Amino acid sequence: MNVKPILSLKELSVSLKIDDNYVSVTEDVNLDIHPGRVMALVGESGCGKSVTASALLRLLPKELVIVNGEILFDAQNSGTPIDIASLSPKGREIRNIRGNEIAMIFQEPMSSFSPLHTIGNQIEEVIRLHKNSSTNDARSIVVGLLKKVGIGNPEKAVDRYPHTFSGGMRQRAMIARALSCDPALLIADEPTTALDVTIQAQILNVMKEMQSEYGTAILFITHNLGVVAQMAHDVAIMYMGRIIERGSVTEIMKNPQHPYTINLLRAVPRLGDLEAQKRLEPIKGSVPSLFERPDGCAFSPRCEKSMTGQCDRQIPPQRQLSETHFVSCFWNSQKPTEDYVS
Amino acid sequence: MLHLLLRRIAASIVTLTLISVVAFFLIELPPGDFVDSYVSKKTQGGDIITQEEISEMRSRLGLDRPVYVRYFKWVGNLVRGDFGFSWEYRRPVSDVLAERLPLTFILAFTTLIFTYMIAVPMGIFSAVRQYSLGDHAITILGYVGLALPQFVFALILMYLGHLWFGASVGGLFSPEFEDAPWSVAKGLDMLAHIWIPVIVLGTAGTAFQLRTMRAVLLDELNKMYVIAARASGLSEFRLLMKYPVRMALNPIIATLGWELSHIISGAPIVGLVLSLPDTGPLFINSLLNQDMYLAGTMILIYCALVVIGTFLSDILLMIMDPRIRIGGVS
Ligand SMILES: Nc1ncnc2c1ncn2[C@@H]1O[C@H](COP(=O)(O)OP(=O)(O)OP(=O)(O)O)[C@@H](O)[C@H]1O
Ligand code: SF4
Ligand SMILES: [Mg+2]
Repeated sequence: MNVKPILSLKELSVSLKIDDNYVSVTEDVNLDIHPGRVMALVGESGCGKSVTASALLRLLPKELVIVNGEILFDAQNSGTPIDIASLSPKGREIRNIRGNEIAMIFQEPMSSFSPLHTIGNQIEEVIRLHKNSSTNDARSIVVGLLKKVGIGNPEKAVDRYPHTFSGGMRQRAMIARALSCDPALLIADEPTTALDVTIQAQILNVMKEMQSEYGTAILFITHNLGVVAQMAHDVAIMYMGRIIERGSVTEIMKNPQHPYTINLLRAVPRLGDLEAQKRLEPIKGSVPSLFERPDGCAFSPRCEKSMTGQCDRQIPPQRQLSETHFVSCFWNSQKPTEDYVS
Repeated sequence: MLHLLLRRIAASIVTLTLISVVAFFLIELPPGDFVDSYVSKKTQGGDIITQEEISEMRSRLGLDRPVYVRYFKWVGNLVRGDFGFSWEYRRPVSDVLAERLPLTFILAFTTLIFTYMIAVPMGIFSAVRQYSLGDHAITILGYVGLALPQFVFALILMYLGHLWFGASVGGLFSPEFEDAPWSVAKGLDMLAHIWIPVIVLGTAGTAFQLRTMRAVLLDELNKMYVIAARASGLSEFRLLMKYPVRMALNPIIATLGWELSHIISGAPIVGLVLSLPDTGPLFINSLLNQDMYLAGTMILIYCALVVIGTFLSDILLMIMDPRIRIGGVS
């Protein structure tokens, strides 16, 4: 892959600050997002997906702090990225990026809009803020956007209030708002989790269409591996704040290398499984709390392949399996016959 | 919207009617009537009054007729704009009130403005700087304001006012302006006096509204729509004012009528302690003397103020909150 990533996380670590103590929430997160590609960030609830997403836009609440790492953002592919991690979280620079070059969609479409302002007002606001367009221009842009995301009668819809929209419509409006300034990167934090199954499919379709039309890169956060196959080009698997494996969709789906990834994939229901009456295998044990992070590999207490003396002592280093496939694990399924050095 | 408005108007009229009944019978409730208290005052002064004179007086004042007859007569006259006759002052009730009622309105309105002008900005500050030194200071002041009885507060302020600004602190005017016609100078003189009753009447309400503003705003600050707006690049101040503050104003507006009733029910005692030339002292006297029509009219006017305040707050809420104005998903 020769194109430079537009966003590159380098050893990003976020900690929870309690008085003067720090508790790790995410550790050494490495991630590259390339222009026009969809990166899925997958992991169980509480593993740090939303924290990572908020850190990218410096939206962390004050008790969560970036303790290490870089967030290198290069919207224009200029080769001289800016480090978002070094910006002031309330400053002008980060505000010029938010909503303009990096936009975000949240899980809760019901509460992502203020109930006291019209949908149109809240989308226009973003456009007027970042693109010196007049009120009239902004309005017609909004009407166009609402139409694109599939909201019927957009000329009327701009003047409607959020409470007269259904959840699905609000999420469409949210997508319109996020795309209003044609951002280089869109962060979608579980955008369909709160919706009905049929609506979920519709929203995913809208996102896919928009993605191919605008060519926006997307960081797609989900804990649903089924959605990943449908939406993403690349996948990163997170466990207790660390990316334990990442690669292209095919690499992760067809050739998972980390025991946790393998377990996750086994837990996904498949049509064939149902016919064969095969049981789904839940991952045994449960995720330890932030305050009880195991020594060594955080997955070791639950891992079938865990090697005492090694896994419970050292943090496994990242190994590269192909140009795009990385895994952090001591266990090696097929010994490094195809060691790839780039 | 229109439908809602009509319903609120109808409700207000029903409320006022019920209040008129309650007011009338409440005044009837204490044993004896105006004639009794008149007679006992006179005999204490050494006068001798015969039984005939007493019953003659009763029938002249209509006090010998049944309660409901008197009520309907009173209400009938009220509707025609006749508030009845004050036996104590021997003048029509409307004359007695004409001089003093405007001052009561001015006092109540000024207090209301004072309450919100202080409570809203301080509440915002307190929420945005939660647990800061300023927030703690405001919290402590608020509790003191809530806990201090108004008459004690009035006396303290009078004392301080006397200490700092010299002689005339009671009342609403300096002696030289008391009977003067309205002029700019008189208005300024009133402003120099009105702050004491305004602070006394307004502090508890201010403290309460401030706590409400702080609590609601703290809640709103963590809402998703605030984070979403921040994620779109809005500056903190613009974001704060446009979204969470607007939301937090709603419960404040909703309690406008309640706040007004709070001010009005505190006013008579404070008026008495500060010897204000408003309706406060008049009201208490009329109750003590069982000067029925005067007392009844004043209760009705006070209640009407509250009902109107509530009505206005409902309308304001409708204007401010589209969820009330326009129904939900159809
Ligand atoms: N404001 C906060 N204060 C304290 N702990 C927090 C805070 N926000 C997140 N955490 C903790 O950080 C960890 C990661 O949370 P995060 O919200 O990123 O999880 P997630 O992967 O997005 O999970 P989900 O799938 O449930 O959304 C969790 O253990 C959570 O309890
Ligand atoms: S490092 Fe060891 S414990 Fe951790 S996943 Fe790999 S094999 Fe399991
Ligand atoms: Mg989350």
